Amino acid sequence: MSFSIFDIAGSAMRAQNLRLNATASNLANANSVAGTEDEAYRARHPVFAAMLNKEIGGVETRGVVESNREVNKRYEPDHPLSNEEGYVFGSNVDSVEEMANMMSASRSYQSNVDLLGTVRQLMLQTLKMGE
Amino acid sequence: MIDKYLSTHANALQMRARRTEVLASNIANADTPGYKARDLAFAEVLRDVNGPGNTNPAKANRLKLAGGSLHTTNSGHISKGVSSPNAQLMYRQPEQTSLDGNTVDKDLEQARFAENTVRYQASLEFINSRVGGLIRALRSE
Repeated sequence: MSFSIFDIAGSAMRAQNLRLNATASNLANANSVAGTEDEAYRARHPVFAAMLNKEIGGVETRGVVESNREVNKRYEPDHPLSNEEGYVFGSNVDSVEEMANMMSASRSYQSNVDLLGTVRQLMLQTLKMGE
Repeated sequence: MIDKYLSTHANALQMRARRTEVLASNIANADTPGYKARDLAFAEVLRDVNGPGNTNPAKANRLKLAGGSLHTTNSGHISKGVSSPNAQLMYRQPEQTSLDGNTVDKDLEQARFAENTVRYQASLEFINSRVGGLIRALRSE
């Protein structure tokens, strides 16, 4: 048993943690509005990729991409941020999608924590081999 | 002599440790688009060594755990040992395909991980009892 399992599970936990952070940011900004289309909040999602330096390996995050879905354009002339034509631009966050993302990320995080615990126990038992 | 006394379980332990890494990698990449789940193919190697012309079960067993794709056909040949268990690293056939090309089934991988853990512990127990037996035999009382 080599120590690389700790790196593998650790990288997965880091990646899932980033995904949870992105989801938190998206859900927090689900109702944010902006005065222009460019400034509107767009949902962020991390892009995962397998570390291919060896045959087996952990996960790395290639970056965080913004969703290119249409932003939510609403006619609200009374809104202080509305533009000359009376429009405000809400975020393009899909709350249901983000909740599903959050559940998936936390399940994956838990799997990796469990795995780490099991491997740790196995290694400690291996250290006592022959006693 | 002691090498031989412990070798079966020692080899098994090394293979199990290697498989733990592979399964950990699968679980870690459960959400990576395009990742293909992998596993060590124990059954394939077993079929190879149990083929025609190899009727010695002890030898077959040893080869099964030895890991490489080399076969010893003469007692003078040096067995390859567990230096390259990569030879059996295969891609898993997905039960269900997913849109992002990922073939990891989280639940299956976790079940296999649990199974592998128990087998690792079993090998460890066997080694421990063998070492215990050896120490008892060496005692002067």
